[in-house]
Amino acid sequence: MPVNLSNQILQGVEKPAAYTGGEYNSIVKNIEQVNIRFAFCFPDTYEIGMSHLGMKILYHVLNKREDIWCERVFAPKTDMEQIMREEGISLYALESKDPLSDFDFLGFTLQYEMCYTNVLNMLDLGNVPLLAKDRTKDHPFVLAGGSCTYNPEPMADFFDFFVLGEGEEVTLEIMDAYAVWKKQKDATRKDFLKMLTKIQGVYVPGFYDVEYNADGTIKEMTKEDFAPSVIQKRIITDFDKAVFPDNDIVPFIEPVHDRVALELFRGCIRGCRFCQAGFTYRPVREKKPDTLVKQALQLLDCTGHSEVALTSLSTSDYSSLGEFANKLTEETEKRKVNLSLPSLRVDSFSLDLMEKTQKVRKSGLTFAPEAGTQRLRDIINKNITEEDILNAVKIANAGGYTTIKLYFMLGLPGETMEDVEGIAHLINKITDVYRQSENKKLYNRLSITASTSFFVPKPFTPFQWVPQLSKEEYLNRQQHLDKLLRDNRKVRYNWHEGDLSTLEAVMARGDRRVGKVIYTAWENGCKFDSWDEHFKYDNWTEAFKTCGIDPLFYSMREREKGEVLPWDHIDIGVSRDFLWSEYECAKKGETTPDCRTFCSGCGATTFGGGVCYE
Amino acid sequence: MSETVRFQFGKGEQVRFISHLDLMRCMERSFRRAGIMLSHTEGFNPHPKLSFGLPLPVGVISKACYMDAVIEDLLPMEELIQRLNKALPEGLKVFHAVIPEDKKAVMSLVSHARYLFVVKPLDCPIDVFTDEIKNILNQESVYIEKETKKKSKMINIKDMIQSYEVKQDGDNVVMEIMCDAGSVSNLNPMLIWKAIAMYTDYKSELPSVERLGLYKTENGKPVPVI
Ligand code: SF4
Repeated sequence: MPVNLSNQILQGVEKPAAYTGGEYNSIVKNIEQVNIRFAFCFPDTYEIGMSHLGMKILYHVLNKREDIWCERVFAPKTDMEQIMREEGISLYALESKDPLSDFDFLGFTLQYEMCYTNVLNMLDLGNVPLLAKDRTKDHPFVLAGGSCTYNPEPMADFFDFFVLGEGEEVTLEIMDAYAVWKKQKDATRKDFLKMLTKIQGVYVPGFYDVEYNADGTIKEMTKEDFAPSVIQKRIITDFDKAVFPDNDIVPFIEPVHDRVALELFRGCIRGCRFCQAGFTYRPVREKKPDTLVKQALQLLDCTGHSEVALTSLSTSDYSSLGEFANKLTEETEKRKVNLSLPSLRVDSFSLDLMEKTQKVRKSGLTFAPEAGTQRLRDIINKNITEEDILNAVKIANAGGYTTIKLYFMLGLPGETMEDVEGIAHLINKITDVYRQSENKKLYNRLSITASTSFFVPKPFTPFQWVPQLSKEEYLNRQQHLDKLLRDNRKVRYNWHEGDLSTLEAVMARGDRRVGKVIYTAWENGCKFDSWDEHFKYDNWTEAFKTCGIDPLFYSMREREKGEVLPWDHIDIGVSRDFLWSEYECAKKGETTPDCRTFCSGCGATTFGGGVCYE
Repeated sequence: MSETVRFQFGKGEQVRFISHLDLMRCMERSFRRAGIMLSHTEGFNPHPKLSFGLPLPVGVISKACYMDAVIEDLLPMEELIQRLNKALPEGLKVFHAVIPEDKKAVMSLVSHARYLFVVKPLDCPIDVFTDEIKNILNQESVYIEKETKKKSKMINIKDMIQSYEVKQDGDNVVMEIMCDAGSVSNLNPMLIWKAIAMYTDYKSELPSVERLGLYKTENGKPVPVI
């Protein structure tokens, strides 16, 4: 039964169209004719969720099947939530307006750690028990996928199962198992979850238990006999043939990214040691230029969008970028469609491309040197030299660009005050390129935005063993940099506050005990933690205290080589030995070549495809 | 040869809550999906030549929305309507398309609008509420505070209402109002309701508001825009 949303309610909230559905290409089916109802839940606002490519793909994959109806659910903003709670309106899916409890599956995507309290809030608003152990046969199965699920442990109590890796294929295997289970009248919830343990990529946390040592570290993970001891992620080996949505939903209200998103490839050849995606998405797999052009045009036709964005981790590494760009621009020009090229390395080739494709005013250029000195860039394996950067800036200057954005991290392993000062030196050298160039106008108009974030060590990176810097020292370094940059009038310096990153560090490498903290924080009123205006740090501190858990145990403790890590039973293909050897290299300041130059034997060959076999 | 075409379209229940800005973006995309190429402005940031008549407030549906589109390769009107309707989301529908005789922008033509209010009282009998609304509108003047960006001022909405009819229809009061609209003098339908709600002590649901017609003035008389 659909929930009752009166005009009165909708008239009273901000952007009511986020709650009414009916967008072009959204799919409505007859519930009499479907067997399985799946609610794809995005634990953030409509505008953010509707920009998410993974949701578009799964929506398409599931709805292509006649027996399945996949709908969408987003986190209501606080004004809408308040009304829903007052009026007793359950959280519902946009297509049918049916409450969450009507569904067979609630599939969440966990894209960033700070959305965890939103997951709990959404379940609560949907009248679904928060803890997996409290759900009965009358309740939906609650699952999660997405990049945070590589360390699923902090959220293990709340989900019936996790899907690790790319969901295109495995999701349908799960649906097939469900159809079989549903036919058996007296089959229990556990029976279905047991069936799932046979599917590669599915992790059912309820079948595992953790024992701890006296010092709080993990002793071992125990499990039911039938459950696998290691769960390997799933990937699409032949990415060129991967299913592709040909009928994207076109939102009425403006999402964060309002455009056709084209994934040139998955993964990244670079292996920057701080970057989780660089390891978890291995190996790199590309689509062919012709496939991409075809898919771009199909999406443009069916959505009417006027912009295509090339979205991959590092677009410049696409092996046929030149050929592809030529073919695509030929078509986009005809249609007066803009091409947006985020994550391009700045060189003469890409500037040429930008000149050609972006008829709009020269936007800014973005560089991400991440660290201020060569020594530290070698430690993190960011294979870019000062010379590369300054050359790129010279090209930018010659091309008439006057807005430059720079991204750095503070608190990287091995960082000293000299490295922090190196950031200021580098920025000053960039400014000098403009000062010394003939065109004084460009120098006058030059505006540099430098941003620093606070490094968070992530699982499945060579830095998974390192302590996070203390918040005090982070702030100290950040203030030092601020002082150094004050003399340079061309620079605006932005920094992240430390609190959120220290918390993110706990969530990222947390174990099952952290789940209680998340629950308590939610009870304390935490939600939308990644939104400055909603983030309540004190309520989190309170939650840690209540649960008797020391956050610094997770964020600021160095792990021994042999320590059992909470995510050791998850296998992303890249071996733990490889990550450790990368960590050793980092300590020695040795770099590792990219996958195309030289295969370093990370272990991802096990998937039998991609760059390892090129 | 590019040509300006004037369309009349409706905004229905399914899209009641989309804003004017969202509607504009949606129309632009629908033209692309329909394979109807619009002319674009010159310059750094070219945008399609598409302009709209009087914006609808969020929450109001309409049988009478208008837009002017400059189309690159003209097609027969019937085909334009058909193609566009196939490309529109549910709730939006094109009724008419003409090549306008006057070249003035559709927004500048508009002088009057006709609105339909349907509202249910919550704490009094329907006939009492009907009379109450009649009495309020029958007053010589109905003053209400109108807030603009910086200041607010008192206006007499009766000055801007040409005619009105209030009747009882089942459980609802149905009220049809013809009033000023457009760039010279404009009365927002929500303001009419705000006035009534202020002058009555009875409670009611929020009315469902629909725009029935949009008019230009010819020989001193309002006639439909197309
Ligand atoms: S196995 Fe070699 S080529 Fe393949 S992802 Fe690992 S390092 Fe790269």
